[in-house]
Amino acid sequence: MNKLLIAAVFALAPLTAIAMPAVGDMVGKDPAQATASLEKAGCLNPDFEAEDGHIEAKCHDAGMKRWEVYIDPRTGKVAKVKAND
Amino acid sequence: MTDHTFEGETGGAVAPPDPWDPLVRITHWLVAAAVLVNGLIDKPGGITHVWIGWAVLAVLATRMAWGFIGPAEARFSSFPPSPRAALAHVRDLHRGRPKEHRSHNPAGTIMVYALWASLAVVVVTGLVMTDARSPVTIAEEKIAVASGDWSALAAASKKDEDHGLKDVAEEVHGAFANLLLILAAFHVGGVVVESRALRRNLLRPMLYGKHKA
Repeated sequence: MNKLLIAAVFALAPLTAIAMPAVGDMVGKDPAQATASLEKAGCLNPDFEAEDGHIEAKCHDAGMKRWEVYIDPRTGKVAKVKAND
Repeated sequence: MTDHTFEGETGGAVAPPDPWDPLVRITHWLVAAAVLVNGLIDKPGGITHVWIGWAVLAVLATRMAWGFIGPAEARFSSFPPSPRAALAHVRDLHRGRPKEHRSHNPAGTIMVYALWASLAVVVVTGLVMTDARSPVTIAEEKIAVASGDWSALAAASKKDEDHGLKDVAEEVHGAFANLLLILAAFHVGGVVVESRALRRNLLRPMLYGKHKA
């Protein structure tokens, strides 16, 4: 049973690591709202910046992998999610 | 490629001018600095990056105009692209018998046009990525967002209809920026090889010209 549990943890670990907001998700039109929504979705400690007409949220996931989430400032929805390699 | 002797030139009987005219030298080094800074040093998408991109557009346009109205050796008519002539030049170079040319040598000519074309692609894709907004506007947007105000950016931004185009532009921009750095490295290598073969410093005419007596 323990082996099964350990195997399940390892098998599901990558899924938790890539948990991120999806394109189209509503995260909000202001920093406070967006920070709360992004952190809830796994985009931790976001830092916002204007980038090519979008709000770029630079954050990391639980595995400390860096991500860039682009938010449409008009709608407050996620327009693009990109791994920052 | 025609070879001429120009009155007042000191680069050799049929060699490029020594020094090159001031506008060729200035635009050459401005582009070189811009490629290095935007390609390796500053932050992509940052204000400095965008300012330099717009400056490169102006420098490139100036050099293109100079290709029609500048002195003979700076004109496009003095260095028409010819892959066959370029290969012949490389063969001559390999044999240790490169010929002199009034302007860029045929191999250098291919490199010059490749660099300009790549530079143009990088500039145009950069304009697509930023909706051709001025660096001042972009700076204002960044300051507003940094202070927590997203409303100005929301009012200025367009609908996301062209997001696919911007994604393609971004990929092309990055690829050609890397290509520019690779071409620049080959360009420097070519200058070194050619200088050794001709036993003449080809860098000097692009800097300050002949030594004062």
